[in-house]
Amino acid sequence: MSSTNDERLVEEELAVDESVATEGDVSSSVMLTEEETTSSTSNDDTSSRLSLFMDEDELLGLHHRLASKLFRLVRKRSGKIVPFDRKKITNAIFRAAEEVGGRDLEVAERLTDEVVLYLYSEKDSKLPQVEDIQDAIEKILVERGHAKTAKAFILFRDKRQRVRRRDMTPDLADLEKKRVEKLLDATDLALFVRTSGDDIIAWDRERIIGTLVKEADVAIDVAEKISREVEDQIVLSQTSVITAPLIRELVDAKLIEHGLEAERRKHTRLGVPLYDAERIILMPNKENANIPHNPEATNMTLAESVKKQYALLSVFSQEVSDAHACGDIHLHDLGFFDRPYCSGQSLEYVKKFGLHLPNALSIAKPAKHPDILLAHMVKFSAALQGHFAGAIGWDAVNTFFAPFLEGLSDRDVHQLAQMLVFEYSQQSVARGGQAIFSDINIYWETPKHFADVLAIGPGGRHTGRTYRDYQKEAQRFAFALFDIYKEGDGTGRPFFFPKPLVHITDEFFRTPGHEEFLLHISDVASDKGNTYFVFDRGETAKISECCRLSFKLEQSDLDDAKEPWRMRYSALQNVTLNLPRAAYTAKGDDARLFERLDEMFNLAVQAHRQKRDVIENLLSMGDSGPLALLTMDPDGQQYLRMHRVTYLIGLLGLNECVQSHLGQELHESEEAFRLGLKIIAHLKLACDRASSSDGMRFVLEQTPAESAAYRLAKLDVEHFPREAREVVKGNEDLGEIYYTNSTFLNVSEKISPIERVKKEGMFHDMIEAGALSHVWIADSRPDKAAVASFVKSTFLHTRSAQIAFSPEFTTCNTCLKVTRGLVDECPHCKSTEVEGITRVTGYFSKVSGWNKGKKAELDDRFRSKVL
Amino acid sequence: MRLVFFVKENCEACKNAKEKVGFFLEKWGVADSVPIEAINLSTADGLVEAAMKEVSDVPTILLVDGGDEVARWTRRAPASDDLKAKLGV
Repeated sequence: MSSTNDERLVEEELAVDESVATEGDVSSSVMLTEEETTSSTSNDDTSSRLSLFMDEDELLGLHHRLASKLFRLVRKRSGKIVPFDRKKITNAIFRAAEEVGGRDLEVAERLTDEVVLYLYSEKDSKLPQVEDIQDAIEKILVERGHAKTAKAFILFRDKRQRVRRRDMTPDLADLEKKRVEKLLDATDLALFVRTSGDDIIAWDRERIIGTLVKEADVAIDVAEKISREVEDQIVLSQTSVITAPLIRELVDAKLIEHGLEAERRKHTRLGVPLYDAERIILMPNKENANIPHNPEATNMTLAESVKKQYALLSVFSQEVSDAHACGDIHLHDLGFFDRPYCSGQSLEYVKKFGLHLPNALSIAKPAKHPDILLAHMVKFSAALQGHFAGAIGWDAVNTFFAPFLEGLSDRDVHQLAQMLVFEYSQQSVARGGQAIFSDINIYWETPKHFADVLAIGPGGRHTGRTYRDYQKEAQRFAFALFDIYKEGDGTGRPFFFPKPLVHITDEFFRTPGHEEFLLHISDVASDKGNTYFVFDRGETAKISECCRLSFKLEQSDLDDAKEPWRMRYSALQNVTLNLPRAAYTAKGDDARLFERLDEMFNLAVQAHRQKRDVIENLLSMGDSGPLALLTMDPDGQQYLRMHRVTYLIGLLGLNECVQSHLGQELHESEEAFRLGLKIIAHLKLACDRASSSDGMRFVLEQTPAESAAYRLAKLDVEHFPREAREVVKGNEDLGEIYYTNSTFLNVSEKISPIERVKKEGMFHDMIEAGALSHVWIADSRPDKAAVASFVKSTFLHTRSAQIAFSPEFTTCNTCLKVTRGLVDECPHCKSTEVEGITRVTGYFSKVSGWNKGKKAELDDRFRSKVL
Repeated sequence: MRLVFFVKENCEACKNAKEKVGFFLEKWGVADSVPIEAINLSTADGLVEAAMKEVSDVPTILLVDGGDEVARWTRRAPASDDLKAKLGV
């Protein structure tokens, strides 16, 4: 067709177009139906409205100005992104028009504006593709009555498409596409990505596709689409360097837009914001007062933060994770989801097998000397600390050391005791350089279940005598240990670890010398506060550890006692129930209160099942897995005996729960106290039922709640402000709030120590994993005889499972002297560089490391001057 | 006076203790004047009562006069002579 003919055709076309625009008529030559014409006119509502205020030229001018600024870039078929050039649209329209005789360039430009405006209003992307533009040209040409031009354009488009197909075999086309995409995407965009490693690489959209398919199981076509959308977004941002985490966030946002929530969860990136990372590095950890502030500790806190996120996303179900996040329950030690909670072990294991740990660099045979045995014990504790989230407890330490002490002078025994206490209190090892969170169980008598057991002596060999025969040596060592606690550290401060737990039994009071020993440990309790008095009444035998956790030894354990190295126990996890919240949602309805408790309990059981599955999976990896240490089995049983582990249901804020439900605190009326007992009884029976049906042993525990008492109180003030503000303790204006720990009575109430121990003790029989009452003695120093009498009275006349006396100290960082009580200024040198020390939950620590809630509780504690 | 038995479901010792005491109360002709009350520690209410009385083992038997505890036998039935003396029959 000649150019003259083309010009004519275009002129005709454009003339027809004008007639449509001005008269709204239908021309047979444009092949549009009346309906289509009306529709195309009325579709342009904006133009119609605008035309009321401006003439046609002004309107066209506005269109042109708008259209010329809407797009900056366009994506070619090859994937290459190039600057948007509206002239190319105009040329394409004009060329098609020429094919059918048109020649009015001005009309082609006006149509170009319409194409651009249409693209802008109809397409989500601000980065149109060539195909989109061609579709738009066809549509606008047809709708504006340029049917012949449209046909010419369609034919031209089809011809070009066929040429492209003919020129390239499928394989070549694919290869060329990839080559071009790779080359152009990487270079022409001039975009670089800062990766999670120490690397900057060129932009490669294929990586998004690959990652989505591999990590999140996204279909490849969807992944392709999302990758293009993300690329568009990045290109339009005009950035030249982007980080991999940001790309992932953009992809995640697209996954949400596409309704792919499950895939987004799988694709989540874990980490901490820069702000948080800085705070973790610079500020001391307030979650756990036992964690020091040093680079190793901040490493742990950062890692813990990431593992916590992982646990909530990938270990626990959405329901459980949400319940934790919103504060119905509290999953303890989430950052340590891949290890059990706490443990109790026997020195007999180390004595019999030496130190032969999986993947260790060297192996030690059974110790032949007491100081080597101690070294093995401490090193094993350090290794275990890296495999448990909580305490490392040791059973009957003085009893099992005894065969190594024969022939040693009192001075040597004293020296050994000193070494033991200093080694545990000064080790800065696993878990962020913490001292080993350790407990040593001590008996004055030979525990009944070990009395007739053959003793293991130097070299891991039986000595031919029973432990009953070594009672004198065991008592000598027990006495020496408390000599050390009485002396305190190099400045006279109390030792924080190992915590000495003395078992008070019926047999204790029948064993010669108990009066003197009881006075000795009572003296330490009064002076330094270290002694924990654990009451094993009747046939009960326990091994205590952690803040107050203890295990009652059952018949199978007593059978194990014949080979004591088998006696190793663990609580796999602690999940605490937010008891006050149950009351808030029950709104005074008893039945609803217990229903809510059941719901929380069931969530906790689910969480335990999920944790068990994770641990079993890790253990199944054996020597090559992360828990190799816990799979070693020199005695034929895996070190972590899964069939003997317990699952803890923690209790928090019983006092506030009852207060909210009845309007009275536990100590205020018998009705309130009975309701408290009934709640705990209800949960104890729930544990029993779940244990029989699940084959897992669920038991109640007094949650230490060092951080949970603060966290859950804060969440409740936020989510249940009216209800929570009425009962929460502390100072809300300062944000220093807390719930009363576990089943404790209000710590600020002026209740006599014996009354408190008696009342709190009434809950203890139902709390099988262990319970404790504190006697806050602050700066007073009760007579050791009074303490001993208090202990005996508690054993005989209450049901308390355990008590500890908690004095307070101030240590001066300037003159290093220790003062009784918490003071702001050192009375010796007047320095204000002082540090308070007392029990935070179940162990001593520096007050400066406590969170706001615990500091508020410390302010509230009622300190008794008399017992 | 009344006798309060703290028992558990499926506890043979509890059942035997109750039968033994019941037998002697009948024999001494005081079964009507010394009623027996059973508290089941397999229920939450039973556990509450046990906690209030600081009872942890079964069977535990309390002899109560008015509101006061006169005697307590733990993990066993009282010897008949002892019970007889305490009841004053």
